Amino acid sequence: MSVVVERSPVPSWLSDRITNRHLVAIGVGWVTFFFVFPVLFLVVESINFGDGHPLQAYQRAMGGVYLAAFVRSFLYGIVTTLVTLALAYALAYYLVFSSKRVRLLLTLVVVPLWIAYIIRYFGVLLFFSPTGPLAQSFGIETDLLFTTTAVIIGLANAYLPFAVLPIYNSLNAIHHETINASRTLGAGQLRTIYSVVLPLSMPGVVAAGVIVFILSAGSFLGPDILGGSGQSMIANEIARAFLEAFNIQLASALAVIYTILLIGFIAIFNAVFDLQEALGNL
Amino acid sequence: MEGSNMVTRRSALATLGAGSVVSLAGCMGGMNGGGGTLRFLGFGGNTQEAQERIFDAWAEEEDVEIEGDSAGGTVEMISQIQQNTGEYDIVALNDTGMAQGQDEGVLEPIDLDEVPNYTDNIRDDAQELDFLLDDGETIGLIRENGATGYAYNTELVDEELTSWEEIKDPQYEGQVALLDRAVDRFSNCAAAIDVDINEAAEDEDLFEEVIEEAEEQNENAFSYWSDGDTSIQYLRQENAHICEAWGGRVIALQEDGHEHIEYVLPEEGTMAWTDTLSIVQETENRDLIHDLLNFTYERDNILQMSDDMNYTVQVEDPPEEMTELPDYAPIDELSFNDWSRILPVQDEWSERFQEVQQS
Repeated sequence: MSVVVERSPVPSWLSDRITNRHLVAIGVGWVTFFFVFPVLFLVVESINFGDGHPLQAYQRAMGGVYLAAFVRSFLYGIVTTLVTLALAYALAYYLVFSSKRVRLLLTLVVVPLWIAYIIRYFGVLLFFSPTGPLAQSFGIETDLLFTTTAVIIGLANAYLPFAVLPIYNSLNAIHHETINASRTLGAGQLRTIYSVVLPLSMPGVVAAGVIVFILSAGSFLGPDILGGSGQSMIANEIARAFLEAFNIQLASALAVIYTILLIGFIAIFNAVFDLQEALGNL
Repeated sequence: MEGSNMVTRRSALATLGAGSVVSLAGCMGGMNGGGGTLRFLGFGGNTQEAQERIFDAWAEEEDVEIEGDSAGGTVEMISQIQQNTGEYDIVALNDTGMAQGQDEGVLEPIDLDEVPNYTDNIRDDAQELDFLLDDGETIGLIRENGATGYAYNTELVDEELTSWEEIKDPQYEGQVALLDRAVDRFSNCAAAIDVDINEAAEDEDLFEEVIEEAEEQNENAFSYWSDGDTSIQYLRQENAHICEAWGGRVIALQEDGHEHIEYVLPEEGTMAWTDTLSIVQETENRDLIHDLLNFTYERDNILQMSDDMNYTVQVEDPPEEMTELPDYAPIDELSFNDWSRILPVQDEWSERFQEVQQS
């Protein structure tokens, strides 16, 4: 027992005072203060304590433009996740198995994370604008902006690094001997990718999928800057309910419903892919 | 119902404000509204800069410090005031904000006897607008006002545009950007079909006519903007050939080398808006603020602000430069929203507006 303590990188005066329970308490406390309490507060705010039905804000939030915004948010989230995973997988595969400048390319993947989202979305807006470089330098004018496609491009561009890194990590952990064994046993390159590389990299794909989906489905800036009047997502509707209509009850109800839907979605995802195992293997 | 909404609204504003406290604490470095310091809260942008230039001139004379702060919208401003009691002394709100601020009880009456320059230099009828008064007491001083017309790019639009009707022409499909604020948008649509928006707030049939007009104008819209910067960005980047806009912003764009952007006050009319100056409740600097307001409304100072902002100030005997502004109009030619009728339906209108946008 004492040997373990001596080998620990943590100074003994610290490890003597901090137990595993303390570490768990930090995590639980963090989630409680910054997730559970705010959501509980929203639940209280969303209930009508005056005249009328207590859940009238929920009744309103489950119909009309708000229902459409929920559906749109999840659809955009799914499409963005699929597009991003495809791009990220190809890029990560290249980094692991073909590139000789891995560090440089990985740095280039990470660098956009240092730039604020709003600037990256404006970058896409400027790039495709009639006065932007695409039109001015190459004479290519597109009708992409203020459409669903523009929003998906913007979201995929913003969240690509979040997908590349876990997939890269997963692919990088695959022993080359495993791949060589597959080839030696007669599998072609595609068969090896399909039967060996892809299954072994699933933890990274699952982790990337969860992260990108959560971020993209709840995006505010993407649809706000790159979308048109028909691309409003649920975050935009929550902001509108609060900042324009001054209706805190409705904004809170929308936020609570979205949180429940998101947790439900992740629970389903967990049932299908076993997130604990996938993320644990990452 | 009304009462319950009020409780909910206030407590939720408290939530937003709590966040603001943290950021303010960082920005202010422990500054407060007492002593020789006044804190001013505005919308930012060129109107705030113009206002602060006048404030600074007074501050230098009086050896008082004025700290300026800005917020993104009226809800944010009101929540900042509520959560920082005594921190702010003076606030610039628009007419919507005045109605909401009055509703939330964050504004203090102004003693007009202490602001003689205001009563002497500003037109009497401009001083008596509904949203400036609370139970007969003045709670806001009108500053600049304007109208929301539209601008168009004369290099991309072949004809001269003069009306709301013309922007519905199918040739402009996907080239029009409109304002993303339900009340303002519906107000302009009402003006386009010669309907009084205040009456439409209480008449379902009239309101449906307004909705129909909004849907027709929506046919050509590719996007809606919610802040003035975005409207100018759409025009500058040529995303929009036609864009609903504020006159002062368009003049600034023209002065920035975009003379081909033309501003139009549609012949059918538009709804007017105003910005005001108010005293924040529980300030400890009432006397200083009255001095400051009196200085601000010296004729030379308000004319200077008008010139800097490119908007009208409802001054007696306006100079020619002001009457030549594109959205200049004396107060008796302008119509304003009646917030006592519109505030109760604002929430419903917001949802209908969303339906229009997605129609």
